[in-house]
Amino acid sequence: MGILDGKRILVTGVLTDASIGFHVAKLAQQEGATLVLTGFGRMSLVERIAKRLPEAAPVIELDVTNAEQLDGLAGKVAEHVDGLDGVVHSIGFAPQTAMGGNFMNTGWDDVATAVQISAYSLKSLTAACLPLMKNGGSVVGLDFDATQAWPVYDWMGVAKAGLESTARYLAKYLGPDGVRVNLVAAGPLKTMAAKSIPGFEEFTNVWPDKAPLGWDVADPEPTAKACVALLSDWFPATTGEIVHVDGGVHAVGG
Amino acid sequence: MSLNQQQIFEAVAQILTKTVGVPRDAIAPGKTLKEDLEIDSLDTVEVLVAAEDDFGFRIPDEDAAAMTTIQDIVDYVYEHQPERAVS
Ligand SMILES: NC(=O)c1ccc[n+]([C@@H]2O[C@H](COP(=O)([O-])OP(=O)(O)OC[C@H]3O[C@@H](n4cnc5c(N)ncnc54)[C@H](O)[C@@H]3O)[C@@H](O)[C@H]2O)c1
Repeated sequence: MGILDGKRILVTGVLTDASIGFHVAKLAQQEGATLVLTGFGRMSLVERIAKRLPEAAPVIELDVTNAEQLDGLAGKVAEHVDGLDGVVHSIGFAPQTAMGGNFMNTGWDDVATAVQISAYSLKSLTAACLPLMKNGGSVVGLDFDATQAWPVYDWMGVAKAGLESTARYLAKYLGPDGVRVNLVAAGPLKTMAAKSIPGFEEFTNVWPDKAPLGWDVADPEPTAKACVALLSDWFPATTGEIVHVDGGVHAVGG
Repeated sequence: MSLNQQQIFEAVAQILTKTVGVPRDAIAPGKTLKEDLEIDSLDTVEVLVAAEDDFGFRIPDEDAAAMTTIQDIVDYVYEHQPERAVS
């Protein structure tokens, strides 16, 4: 018996076994969900990692900037499951020039890439999955608190502010269809995406001390648990919300 | 019985060829992954994940970060390989 028994869930963003998406997928399976995964670019790597889940799951290729792949997504997912009850958006990317302290010199093209892949894609992905969510469902995205300016996060932070707003608008437009849209704002975790941020140690070094509950940058499980909870039936009247899984950093000053 | 250095090198060479398409004749023990073979960090992850699957044990991130040459991978596998049954 699990809190996702009988649920059919699409999980994006699995790249390595450190990916937040991987840990959400693992826990979702343990809680009874049937999964379909999407992978981007490194399909052979994603396929290998998918085999490390408690149960092997099918992987569909999806680049969220590729209109053709988005259009074909529902059809491909339907080859494996007869509908969807949940979608996990665990996708983020910004060119190197858009992070690491280069804020004042980043050109629009690089900013546009960051915003398209990290924010707009929440709408693209959700829209692509809507035909399969006939009975409503839960969309959960991975966020990094965008209410303040952080060191080195730069335009990725702007993209996350866009993601937060996108989630609220999706909540507004899809609420009538019974689709809930929420974000989990995680503290820093050691994943490929994080390692590609120049100066990421500025977060990992201070976060554990700043967090009232403490914080382990190598433990994605608290984040995965929150995602699974939001995918479950235990937040039936919650949408447009951001749940912070950061050891409490967002709530304290200093 | 465990694999000897030469067997591990051949297996690693095969992984490099298969997963990231490095031509076999470009592969030699002293070659560095990044500079000589021009393998980026995700390529390296893919190679190591394949090595984990093939050799049957996990390579922690900190250890992976310390590997710069093909010989580094071979040495690591040699030292950490689980005892194998004779096949
Ligand atoms: N690691 C952290 O510290 C942290 C903290 C808070 C939030 N997040 C967010 O969690 C999410 C997952 O990141 P992660 O930390 O697990 O790293 P990750 O590198 O494992 O995952 C990022 C994923 O984005 C995918 N991606 C990139 N471009 C894409 C595209 N065009 N189309 C489809 N997929 C694409 C990658 O393939 C990868 O699977 C991201 O939104 C990230 O911003 C991460």
